[in-house]
Amino acid sequence: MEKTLTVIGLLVAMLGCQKEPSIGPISEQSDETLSIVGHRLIIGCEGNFQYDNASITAYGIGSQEVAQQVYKAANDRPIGDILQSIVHRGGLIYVVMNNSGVVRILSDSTYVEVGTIENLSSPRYLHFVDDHTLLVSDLSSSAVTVIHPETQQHIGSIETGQWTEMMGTSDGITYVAGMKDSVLLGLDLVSLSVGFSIDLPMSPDRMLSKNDSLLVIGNAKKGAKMTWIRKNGDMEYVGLDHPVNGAALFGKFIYILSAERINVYDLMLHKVGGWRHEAITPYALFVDSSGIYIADVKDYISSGEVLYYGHHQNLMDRIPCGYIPQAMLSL
Amino acid sequence: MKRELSILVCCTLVTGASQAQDTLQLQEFQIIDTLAVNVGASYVQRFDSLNAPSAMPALNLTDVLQTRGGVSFKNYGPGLLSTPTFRGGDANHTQVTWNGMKLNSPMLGTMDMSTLPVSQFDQLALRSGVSSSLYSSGGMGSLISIQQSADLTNESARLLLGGGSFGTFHSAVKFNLPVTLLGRPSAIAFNADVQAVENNFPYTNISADPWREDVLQNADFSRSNFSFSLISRITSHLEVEAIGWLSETQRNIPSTINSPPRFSEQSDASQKAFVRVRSEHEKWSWSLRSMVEQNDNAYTDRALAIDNLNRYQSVQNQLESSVKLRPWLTAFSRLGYDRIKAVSGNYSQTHSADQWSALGVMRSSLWTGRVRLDLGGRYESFLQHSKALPFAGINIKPIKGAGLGLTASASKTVRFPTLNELYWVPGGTSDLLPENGTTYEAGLEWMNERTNLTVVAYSSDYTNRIRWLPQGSIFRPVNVDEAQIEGIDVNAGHSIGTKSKSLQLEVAYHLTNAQGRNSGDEFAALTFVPRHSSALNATACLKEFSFHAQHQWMGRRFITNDELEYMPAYHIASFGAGYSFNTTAAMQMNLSIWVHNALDWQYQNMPWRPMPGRNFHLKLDLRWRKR
Repeated sequence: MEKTLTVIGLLVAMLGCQKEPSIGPISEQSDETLSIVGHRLIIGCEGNFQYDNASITAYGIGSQEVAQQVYKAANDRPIGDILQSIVHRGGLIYVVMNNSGVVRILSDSTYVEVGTIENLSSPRYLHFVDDHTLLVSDLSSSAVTVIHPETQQHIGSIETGQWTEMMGTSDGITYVAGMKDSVLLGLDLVSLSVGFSIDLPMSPDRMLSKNDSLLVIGNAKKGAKMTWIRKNGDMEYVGLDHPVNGAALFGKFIYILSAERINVYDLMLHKVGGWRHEAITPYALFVDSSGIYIADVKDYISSGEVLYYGHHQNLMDRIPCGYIPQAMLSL
Repeated sequence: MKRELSILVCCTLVTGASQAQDTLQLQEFQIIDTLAVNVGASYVQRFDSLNAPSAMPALNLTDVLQTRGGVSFKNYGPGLLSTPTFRGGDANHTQVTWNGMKLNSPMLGTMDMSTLPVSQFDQLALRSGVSSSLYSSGGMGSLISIQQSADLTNESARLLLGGGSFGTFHSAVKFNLPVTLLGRPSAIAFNADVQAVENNFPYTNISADPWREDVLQNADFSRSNFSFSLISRITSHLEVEAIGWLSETQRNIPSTINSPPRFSEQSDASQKAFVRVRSEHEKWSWSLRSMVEQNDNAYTDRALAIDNLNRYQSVQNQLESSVKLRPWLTAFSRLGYDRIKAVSGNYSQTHSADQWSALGVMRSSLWTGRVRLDLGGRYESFLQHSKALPFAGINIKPIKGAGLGLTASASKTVRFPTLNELYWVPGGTSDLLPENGTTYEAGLEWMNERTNLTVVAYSSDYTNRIRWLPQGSIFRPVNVDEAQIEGIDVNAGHSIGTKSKSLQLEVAYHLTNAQGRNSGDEFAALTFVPRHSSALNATACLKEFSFHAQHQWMGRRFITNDELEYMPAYHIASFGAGYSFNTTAAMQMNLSIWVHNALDWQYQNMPWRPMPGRNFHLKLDLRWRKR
């Protein structure tokens, strides 16, 4: 019996010794240091909630080269939890990390972090009013935070009473989407308050700006609706047959992404074309002069892919990227 | 240093064991529900001696199933949400029954095992495949059955006091008193189990750069369970039992360590009333069971401005009978009817649902009991869905008089959508289809006076798996997945030595190859399912002393479907020593000390949620039993 006990005790104790400090989630994603220069697409990948596996992929539009995890490669640490949105301004990339409660400011050439906006609750989207005023919407604080972009300091907040998302400007008025009540909140940036609200028959999921005009698109009880914003609330809504997975405005056309198709509308909201795409689970859309990019999140817990279509609807490339690609811009 | 400590502990164990004599008797496994038909042709692991004096101080049933059953859990931390993922199933693929009645929330479909105490229950068993189909549908992963009953013959009382690291306090009181009620032999029993844990344990914060040592904040919880039982033998053939069970859990929920601190808390309260009438005769028997439950779940998240109350009431009824048609043939049947009413701040209105079920089993025992054949089926109906679920199992003893048995079985099961999946606003989808599952099992059993061994290989496939996925800006449940799961479940026990000097070994091991895919995709590993998990327990007894060694192994678990991100494997070694003596002929005092995670393994079960390192627990267990 003593021999048996010795074997058991040794076995239990030896196995119980921690040989490597492998404590939390481990990623075997590649973080290539490939330098992508020139015309490129920046893909912000949301990552899985609480996994801390958000990332940024860079894609050379001419070279078709791909660099994964460019933030991690440049800064030697993961970017954080839930990458919600990206804005490019003045040679800097502003990356909103929702569940990390921070906005990271990166050099657009090296991806090295040059600053952060901190002490945010659950930031979602950014809107630059001018060089001195940056607005940050928030999932949980029931307020829009006002930031001075140069100092990255909080200079005020606008109580909204609800979860806020995208923002935009129309006729000189800055609007923020109020998600709880499905409203647009017109912001008074002098008194830092909500001046008025416009009720909508759909969820204000997406807001696209063009020449001081604002297009709002969102899912309704059945299908979706879209409309140009009018200050007096006298707006004409165009119904869409299918829920909207993404939207983009480029040139004279509006691109609407649904589960199976991309439909194209003119600025009068008349449908002028469309085609069936190949994405499994389309999640976001970006369009520029180089083409049309569809973020495919697949099953949400596998690496995603961006489908790159030319303007003639030809599939140009499939761009591998991180988990849940959702925010795209081109530099 | 850690290896030196290991050797020291081993030496202590061996030295202690070499002087061992056995005075502690493990509690005999007591058959409470004689009507239950146990199909041997599937994996069943019974956890006897659940409340033996030498048992490890377990905060809840999660601890028991992990450390003795090797069952994989998604465990957010001590006292926090804890749900099993046995055989590749999700949390709502493991059904939990109490005296045959379902405990899973009809709203969530899950049962949080951290809310269930250990001291209250008499029996605990893990069942899979055909065996789970006998009790309930939806046990695609497994069914955990717990039993509780007053005892007509045993006059006893128990006081348990425990405490340990990180502000852990635990107390339990039990008594069972046989009485005469209206001239009938009866018994009353009372159980109280109260716990409070501060959970302020140190951990390595790997989200900081560089890593640093932090102390977990805002993770305290308290839990209380009270139950009252009354059983009366009306006639020699008729027995009536009633149980009331009050349960309350309050807990603060800490943020993940990689996100800013937020303050959220959860309160769970449940009141259950259970009545059982049963009549047993030589050739037939019947039983009627009913349970009424009121369940409140309140969740508050100050940061997200969530203040939600989810409440349901349910009534469950079961009528079952067993008839011995021939000496070799027994028929068993059960009819069930459940009524559920649920309301939530996230429902547009109060929702009600009815569930009907019927079970029929024919059991034949052939060739002097060397071949046992079970054929049966379930019928389940829930809202607009209904399903017939056939099953069959065979158990053969090829060698007369030997303890070897060979088994094989096949079964179908179904999981209906939960009320949240149907009605949650936003996202609930009323046209969801039920999940379907098929399981085939084959195995062998070996049992003699000192050894028991069960090895079962299985293959399962599930279709129409329901997952909550983002659809636009909100999550909706959709039927997307299918899964194929194969594996081997093993449990074994062996004892050596004499009554005065003994060693008992118990091991459980699970090999799980779980693959899943969305429609049209390639199969990939299911997330949070370890390929390997196991538990090893050794207890040496010498006179009044007992010594324990325990090892739990959780293999690597992928957390993404592309198998590029995973939670690393961990091994937890724990050791204990106990001293037991009789203060009087009827009174026994048991003192024990345990060192959990003795080698201070820093680990996380769920991403960014730390688990405690080395911690100590002292237990005083006073038992009185009338001679």
